[in-house]
Amino acid sequence: MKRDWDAIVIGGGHNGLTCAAYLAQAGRRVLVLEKRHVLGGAAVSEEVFPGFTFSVCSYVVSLMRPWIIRDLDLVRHGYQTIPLECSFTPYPDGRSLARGTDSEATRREIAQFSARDAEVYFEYGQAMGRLAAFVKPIIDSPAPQPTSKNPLEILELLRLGKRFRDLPDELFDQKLGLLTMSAVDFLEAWFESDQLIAPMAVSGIIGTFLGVRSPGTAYVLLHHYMGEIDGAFRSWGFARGGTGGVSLSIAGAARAAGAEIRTEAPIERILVEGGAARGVVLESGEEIRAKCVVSSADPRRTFMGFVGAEHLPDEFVADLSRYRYRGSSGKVNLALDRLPEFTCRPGDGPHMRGDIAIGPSVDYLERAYDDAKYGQFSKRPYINMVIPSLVDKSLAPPGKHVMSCFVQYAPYDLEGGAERWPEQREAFGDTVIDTLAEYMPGIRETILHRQVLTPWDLEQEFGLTEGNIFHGELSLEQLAFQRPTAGWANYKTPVRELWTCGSGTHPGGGLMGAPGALAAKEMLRARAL
Amino acid sequence: MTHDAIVLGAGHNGLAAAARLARAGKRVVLVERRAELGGLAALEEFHPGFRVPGLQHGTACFQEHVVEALDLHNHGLAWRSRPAEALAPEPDGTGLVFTPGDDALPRGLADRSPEDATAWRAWRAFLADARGLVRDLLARRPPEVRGGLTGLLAAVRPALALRRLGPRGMTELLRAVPMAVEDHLSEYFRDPLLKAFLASRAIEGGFLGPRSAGTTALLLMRECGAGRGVRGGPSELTEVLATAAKSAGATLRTECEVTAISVEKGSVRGVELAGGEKLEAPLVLSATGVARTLLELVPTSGLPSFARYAARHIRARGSTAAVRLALDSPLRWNGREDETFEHARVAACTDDLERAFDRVKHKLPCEAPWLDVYVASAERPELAPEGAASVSVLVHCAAGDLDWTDDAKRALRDKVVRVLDRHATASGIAGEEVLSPTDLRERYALDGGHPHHADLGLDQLFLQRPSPRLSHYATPVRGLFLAGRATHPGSEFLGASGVLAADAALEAR
Repeated sequence: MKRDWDAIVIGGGHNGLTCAAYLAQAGRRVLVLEKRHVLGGAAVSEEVFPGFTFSVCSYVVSLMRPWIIRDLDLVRHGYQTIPLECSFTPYPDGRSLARGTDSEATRREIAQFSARDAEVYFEYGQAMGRLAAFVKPIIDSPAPQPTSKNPLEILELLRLGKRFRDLPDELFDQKLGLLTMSAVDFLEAWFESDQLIAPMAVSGIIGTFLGVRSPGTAYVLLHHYMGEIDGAFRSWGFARGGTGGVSLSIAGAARAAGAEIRTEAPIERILVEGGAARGVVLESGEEIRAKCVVSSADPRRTFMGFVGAEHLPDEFVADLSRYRYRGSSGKVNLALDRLPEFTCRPGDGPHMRGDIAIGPSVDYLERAYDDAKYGQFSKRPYINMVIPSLVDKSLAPPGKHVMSCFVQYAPYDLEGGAERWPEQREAFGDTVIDTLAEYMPGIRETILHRQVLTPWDLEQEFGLTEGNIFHGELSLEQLAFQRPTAGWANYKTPVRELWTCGSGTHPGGGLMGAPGALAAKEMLRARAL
Repeated sequence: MTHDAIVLGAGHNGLAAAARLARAGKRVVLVERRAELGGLAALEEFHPGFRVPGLQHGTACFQEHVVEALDLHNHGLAWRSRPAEALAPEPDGTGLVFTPGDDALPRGLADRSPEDATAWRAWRAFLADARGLVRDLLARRPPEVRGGLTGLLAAVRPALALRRLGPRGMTELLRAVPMAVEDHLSEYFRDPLLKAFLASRAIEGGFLGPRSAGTTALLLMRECGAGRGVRGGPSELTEVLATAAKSAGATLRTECEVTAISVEKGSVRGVELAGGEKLEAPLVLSATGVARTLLELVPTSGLPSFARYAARHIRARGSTAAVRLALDSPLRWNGREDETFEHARVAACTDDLERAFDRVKHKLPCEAPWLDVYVASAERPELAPEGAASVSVLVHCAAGDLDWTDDAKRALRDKVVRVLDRHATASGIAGEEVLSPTDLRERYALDGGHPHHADLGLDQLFLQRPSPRLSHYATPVRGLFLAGRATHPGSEFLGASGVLAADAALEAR
């Protein structure tokens, strides 16, 4: 059989598509194979109920790298974001907090809980912005390898060390703290009001199996400030047409560069011959050959599912088996007959047009985590919800709305086994609605349809092992040169001509596209194709 | 000036610092608030005829480099012939017997779980690889990575030591350090009792649970740092250190409370004592808490704001209570009536440890305490009347923020005795004493009632113990040094902080 393709990309999620687009732009013949009928992977828009389009999984654009948007000319291919105006949190006592683009209003909002915090808030934002500037190069380049014997790489490490060392004193202290502290401990050094600390701390736990008081969660706080250094007020926003719009724009760029994309083409296995990947075999039995294969699926699916332990070194298999996934979140998508309202702040307003966090206190969040530790979904979960139809009318019929609720904690390993999730699915959905109803008593009457996705569903439907939305926990020992395992964190694999480019590689999960782009660059640099 | 150096606090670190300075030819005076030497290791009679060494359970992590620095072998120090064993009991009389720091298979493990016995060897091999490096880190001051060329060179040392482990050994160690001990242990072991015992060693006293990230680092420090221990226990070590200090010429003054540290033009001038007496010296080493030293004793005007900020933000959330029991007869563990154990840890599984920490986190009284038991009279029978036992139980899951009324203390005591009763015969309690975190704070002048002076989270260890810019013993006040448990390597490693602080002070002169 003749070699038709230079590269086969497994998975049509945003990283797979990004990788394909970069390879195609470099003149390589690329084929993308996606299991589902739609592109986007977990960054997908689907009309789940007639007339209602949802960002089924990933629901806001957060860290999409600006250089990728430029390189792939994504705006020309339809990439457009609508900034989130506000972060809103209601409290059980009837008060609420809206932090938005208007700094004077935000100051007043915070001052209702603490005048001191209202002042410190902006100082904090500036410090975090400066620290984020320090981190940016790390997520925009391959991870340095501390075990390397290559003098150039050692030099690179030393350079990184020097940059770190040369930080101004107070930033140096903060930086060390960020790497090792819990989100709450870190924030408590800045702020005094629990009402502010709780909603700020939650960004440290999204998608992890950790609580806001767990050490190691402070680091992710930085991500919230990455956007500011790219020029805009944070990079958080809704994608026009739902999150799938981002994926489709990347697909457009890939196609324009000559890549071919096939949907409903599930992979059965990767062809390995003589220790090298030669192509793939589809579930249909079709065999497609290529010079190299690059997988954007997570490590377990790629190596245990598509390659097989028999083609891999024992040590690598052992290392992969201890790479932790343990998904901790679910999604509840609601089609609404009309806009629901909060008791504490009735009606429409800026507070409805951003992200809304149900997580009123640090204790509340910790209790939600405690339930999960012992195999239960949270009795009162943390919910992060958005109503994108308020700013993007294409998503719902006139007057009606879509509401997307990210829910944590929903531990993959339920007591009694993950297989129990299908029977618990509706109870989980009810818990979410009950929680919402405490703040929006009328919400039940507005619900036309609901879609509940448990970690089990995320695994079954989207191929996310154990329902982990980041292809593996973002804990310190699973980042950078250790993602997914030490020695194989540079997109290469023990199988020659097989590469990886998913969120299970550096710099990890989130809608940023960096793993896909960096993998493609490494492949081209190594003249793999 | 009448003295070259003043040392505050006669705990192991204060005594070690005084001895080190005196051996270097300094005229040293050490001042101690209480009537006896030893700080947290001072013997206390809690019931007539029954004594325990404060809060100090054993000396297993006492380091060789301290012995050498202070020439302790010539001042009466003797190592134990073998380390003290620790029991992980089960109510039915089975269980495990460990020798901390020892590679040998825990007694009972081969029967309980053959797979874990195999895994044990793999785990000890991992520790053996790390041991040299960890011990080296424990014996040195943290590198001053921002301190110019010498500081940089100091940072290169551990980096090279790490690389010498080879790519595999290096990445294994780097991977383990930030992990939660629960995750780390689960990669090796299945037996809940085995995991609970090891995890409890990692989290004790730290305001941590087994699922807290970074607790593996503590287990590594404590396991790699463990040795045979000192003959005679913590109080004997106090004697040895005091002898070393005195024979080198240091003056030790007890019942001598410091009320202020005098600072002039950014330099320390001495201390003021209760009663008005003033001692002058160009060097002051404080082995008491950092917050107490910098926020209470140093005048506000004498300290730059960053240091005040740092001292204020050191987290010291003491969550340890002590329950001391005077038993008529030896503590007899179920199924092991003929054996005597100095140490026992009563915890069935890591979830129990985590649940106990949940209660602390939510500032609630503990429901089901896990116990860290030390039978002080096992090695030194003179600490209890003949045939009786003097027992100290530390409960590391007693929230410090509670209102510790007498009722609350009694409730805690009852829970402890109930747990003990399930596992052993502890009949005939002749007397007892319960010390809540609040009591500990008052009795021992502990910041936050914390037996380690500061939480043991990853962000308060090594380069960051107790805080990034206070981690090299020196303070912004010239001549004032920190030498207590809140500095690297901390409280397990008795006297080591004192020696390293004294070295830093000597070098700075």
